[in-house]
Amino acid sequence: MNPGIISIKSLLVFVFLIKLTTTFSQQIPPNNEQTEYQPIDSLISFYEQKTGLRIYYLPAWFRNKKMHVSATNLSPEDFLYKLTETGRCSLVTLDSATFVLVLQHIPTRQDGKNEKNSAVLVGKMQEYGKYKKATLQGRIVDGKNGESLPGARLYIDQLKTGTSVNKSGEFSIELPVGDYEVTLSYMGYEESVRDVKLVSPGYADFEIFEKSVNLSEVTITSNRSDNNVSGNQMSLVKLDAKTINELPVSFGEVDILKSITLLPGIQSSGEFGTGFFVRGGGADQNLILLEDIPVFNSSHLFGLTSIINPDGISGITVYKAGIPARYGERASSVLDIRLGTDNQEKAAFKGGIGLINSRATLDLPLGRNKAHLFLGGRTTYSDWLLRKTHDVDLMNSSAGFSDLNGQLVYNINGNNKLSLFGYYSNDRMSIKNSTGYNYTNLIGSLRWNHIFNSSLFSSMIFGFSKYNYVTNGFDTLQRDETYKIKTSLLYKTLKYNVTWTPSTNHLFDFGLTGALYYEHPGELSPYNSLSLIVPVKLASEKALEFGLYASDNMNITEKLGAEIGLRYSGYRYLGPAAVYLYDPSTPKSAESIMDTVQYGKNKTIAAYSGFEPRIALKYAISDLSSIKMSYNRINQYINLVSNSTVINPADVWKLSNTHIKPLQCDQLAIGYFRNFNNNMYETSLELYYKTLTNIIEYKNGASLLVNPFLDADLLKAKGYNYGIELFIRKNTGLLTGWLTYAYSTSKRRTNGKTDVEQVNRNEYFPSVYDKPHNINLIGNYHISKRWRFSWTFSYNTGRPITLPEYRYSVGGNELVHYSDRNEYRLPDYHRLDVSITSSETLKVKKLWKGSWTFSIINLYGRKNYYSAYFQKEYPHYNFYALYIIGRPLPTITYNFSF
Amino acid sequence: MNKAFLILALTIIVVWSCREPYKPDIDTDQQVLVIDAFLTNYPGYNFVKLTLAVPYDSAGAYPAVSNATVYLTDNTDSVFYFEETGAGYYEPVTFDFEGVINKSYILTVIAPDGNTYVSKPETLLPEMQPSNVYGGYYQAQHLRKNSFGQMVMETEDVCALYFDYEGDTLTPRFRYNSSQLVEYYLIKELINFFCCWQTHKDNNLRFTNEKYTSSSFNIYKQEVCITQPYSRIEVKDLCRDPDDPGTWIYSDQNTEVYEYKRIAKINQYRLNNDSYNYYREVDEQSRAGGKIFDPVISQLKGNITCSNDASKLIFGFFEASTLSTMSYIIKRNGIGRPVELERIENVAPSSPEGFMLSQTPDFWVQ
Repeated sequence: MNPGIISIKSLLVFVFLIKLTTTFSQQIPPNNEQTEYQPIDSLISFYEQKTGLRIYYLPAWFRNKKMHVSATNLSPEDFLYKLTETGRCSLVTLDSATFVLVLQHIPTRQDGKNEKNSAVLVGKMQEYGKYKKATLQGRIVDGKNGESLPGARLYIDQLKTGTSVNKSGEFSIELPVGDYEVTLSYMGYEESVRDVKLVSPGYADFEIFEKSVNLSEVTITSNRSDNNVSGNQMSLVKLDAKTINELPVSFGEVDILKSITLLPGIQSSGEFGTGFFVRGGGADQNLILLEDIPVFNSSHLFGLTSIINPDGISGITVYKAGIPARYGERASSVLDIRLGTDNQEKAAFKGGIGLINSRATLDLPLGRNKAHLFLGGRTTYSDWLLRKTHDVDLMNSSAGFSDLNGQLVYNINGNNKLSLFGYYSNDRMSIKNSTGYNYTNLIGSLRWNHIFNSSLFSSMIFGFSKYNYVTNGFDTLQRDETYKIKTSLLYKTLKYNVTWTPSTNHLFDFGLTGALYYEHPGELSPYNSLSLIVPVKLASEKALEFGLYASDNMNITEKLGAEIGLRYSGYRYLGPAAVYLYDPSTPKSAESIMDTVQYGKNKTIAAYSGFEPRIALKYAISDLSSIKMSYNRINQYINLVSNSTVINPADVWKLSNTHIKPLQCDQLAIGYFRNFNNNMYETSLELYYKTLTNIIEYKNGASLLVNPFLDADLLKAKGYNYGIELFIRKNTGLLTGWLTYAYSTSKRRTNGKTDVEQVNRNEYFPSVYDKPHNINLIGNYHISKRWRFSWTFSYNTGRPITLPEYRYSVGGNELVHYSDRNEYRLPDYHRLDVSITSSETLKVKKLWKGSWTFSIINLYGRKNYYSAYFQKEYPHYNFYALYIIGRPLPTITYNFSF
Repeated sequence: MNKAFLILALTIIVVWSCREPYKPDIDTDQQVLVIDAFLTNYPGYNFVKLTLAVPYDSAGAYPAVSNATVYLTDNTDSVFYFEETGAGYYEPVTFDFEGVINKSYILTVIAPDGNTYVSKPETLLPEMQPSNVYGGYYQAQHLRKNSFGQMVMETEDVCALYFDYEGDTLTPRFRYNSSQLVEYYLIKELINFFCCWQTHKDNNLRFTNEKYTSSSFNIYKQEVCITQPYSRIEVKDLCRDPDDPGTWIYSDQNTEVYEYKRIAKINQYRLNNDSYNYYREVDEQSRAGGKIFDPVISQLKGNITCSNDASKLIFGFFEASTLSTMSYIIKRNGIGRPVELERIENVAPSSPEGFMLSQTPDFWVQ
């Protein structure tokens, strides 16, 4: 027996002694013939009220189970004993009146078959004998949180057949009608055998649980999946909703984009920035997918917070290397965000009230689990911050954002499911009598999941993502120069993916993707009739990107696994357009245009294509350790033209064309993965080397907005990044968290022929993402079942910066000589944040659940510079550095759900 | 545009953000020569100024570099020497030397330390006149700190002169500076009639801005100089010299007078590509201070290198620009009404400011 589990008998004696004097004389609830047997859930509730005991458990264990009401007349020890019998649980005491029911340790596979539950009837008894074969459909979910487990296996030994759960968390298998012992398995979970009586086509959901539960009076541990060791993928991070909820908070709520920068190899664009850089790649090299559709601006208010409502996230997956073949379009990483919930049975409302914004989400099952609606939204009231200033202009300015997302899932039948998703966000800012800006993201998708048979699934997605940006220079005093600038990008996509699991050793993915880009790079127009601004409208651009891919995630031998994939990506830059032909003997500029070629509608102006191999290999040294390597190539056909290190709404997305070649990224990575203490501790060491070709750099004084000769202001560069990343994580116990250390280098180099086309004389120079040393220490300590203490410590080398060295005078102009690009560095960055969270109740059946989180950001008041600038203070210059929070910043937030 | 982005910083900074002096450890050990050289098609406008750069945080003046050898070589190998006429200031030995349109010139400077600096060949482009010249009003804004220490935006009425350029197949590029000669009459003691004048120079960096012109090869509404929209101005009063009552001198007091004539003289410099790119970088640099939303800051790339040591730093620029001068009488009829311009021959007052009793000066525009 696991020493962490207290024997039932000793516990009962303890309980008996403590509770001998409690109110046994209370009456059982009124009952009659119809209510003799009542749900165990309600009986526990009644018993708690009656005795003052507190009993914690997962309702899933008692779902659809009833007990005779007379059990409430039993003594506590007998009542608890009966519960453990009925629910197949063990009992642990936390204090004299508080008990936790936990799932009993299930015999391991070495014991042979696991214990079985009672038979599950599939189909309708009145159809008994009508079918010879029937399709069994359903889901395999985590019994603790109800989340689907894609890849979980269902196997019928009598028939020597089985199937796997697809990415949507569903399975389907056609079987002869009859009685079967169905074995359910999933990596890191206890194998479970269920009796199934299949009489006609029908559905059944199965729950499985993580491998084992160790308990003691002071320590609750549960073993985790060893997927980090056993899976074929490396450089992969998955976070489920529960983990996300325990991530460090900023401004009162979890910010998923900021949180992932605490993982090795992912760096933040700066304090409170939501942009992130993965292994030396730019922010535009990250494919941020919201329900399979890319997001083109992921931040609210220039990065104060990200556009994703944390309460709406059901899970995220981050790929830093070995990116599977089904993903393309961006060179450095994939952040796959899933919204909604897998809990489709209960209605739920969650929210949070913070200093700057509030949020709410609603989960609503519809039509007897036929459909499910999820809605979420946030809005801000940050204007009050501006009104607190003493600046007249700022007091009359405003800034704010709102976002709304929704998902409607409709199960047409067992083989077909439709999912409709929508997202809208709006950011607005206005400065009195000067400038206003507004940007919106509008995203929508329709997904159709179809099951062909037990081993073949498909999903088809049609979606779009539209990003609009408007700046208004509405200076009422300078009326003849008021202006409006508009840019937009519309992305439409169609994706079709098929998953085929011919055997337990192979999981094939193949499919195709197509995307159309419509870009309006800029339109300058008079703001009103008084303005004398000459309208300028840059020609719209259009391009088609498509991809074909296939991959096989396979177990070659017991120790050797691989995911081998190949993607072919193609790109067409389409007319109508006027293409400038520049004189190749001089630097590109408006003056070096020799000719202009006109292309008609949908005529191919430039075409690029290429194969993108994706290889991930794993060799299992033992059950607890493995070596993995991966290689991937990705072509990226759209770039963000930006001259700042933060995400800036005015940044211009630029399609590859005749003069801008597609960015190509090759990455090779190798890693060693080792878990300890029954997967309580995860460790990994990864090395990577990445090359980038056709990166965009900028000429001096490049003009990025409404520039018809933008091509001429851009430079082509190449670069390399390499690094080593160490990751140590403790998954279970009262203390959980992780420690990361990363050493990395990121360099760039232009190859211009003339001075104008060169940066640092064509020598390699550090990119703005070059921060060699990076350390993160994240911890959660569960002081008690209600109180949790968390901390986050981050350290990284200061980012490269270009600084002035000399001053001089030419032509009456005071000028400054700057250093080589990125020659100096800002001081190193480090910060400690702490928070303590108190939950009001842990009772599962308590309708309203709230929690208070009190945090102190920057506990020791470090002044971390995010930028430095100089200012002329006649006759010389002085340097100043900007920092956002130079002292401890307390925040408090109330989160709730019911 | 930067102002729009400012609000982000302000939104955050207002509550938490701060700045503090920052003393990075920067290497400024080298002595770097600065060459400020200028060639036009007019005599008297050609010079080379040699100084040394100073560390960015130094409060000192720029040391002049004397005893250098300076000369120009044109594309026919003719050589034109310069001589030092002031500390570090070199002018053509031939007084009436002027550049020739369509010729290219190379500047050579042999510094006292023996290093030789040579420029790229720079060409004087043909002259080009604006197709349209007109004036208009707008209200300019500037920040001022009020008595509470708050920065407040103030507005000021401005009358501006604009040039349009049309009909060229290449993008015309120019920079400008200007001076305004203001004539007025002052009557003292009922009988004394004075012709007074003042000259105001505008040396702000003004060059053709592509902001509103980049969609075509034409330039519209290029602001070339500004003035106040009112004809009444404040000038120094005149008074009798206490020591010599027969002589009139400037008083310490100001007096308000009505302008008689305002003549704007516009110097238009047609820039070749190198010069335009250089000024654009200068302008870009003046707006980039390394703040979070500023453009990427970078080095100015001049057109001069050290021929005997390519790695040696050298700052500055050799500008060869074609000069056209244009003078206009500006007639303002009140804000909102048309501004009338009348082109006249260039006038040259004997001194920037002065007065004459009971007679009009030679340059006086009637």
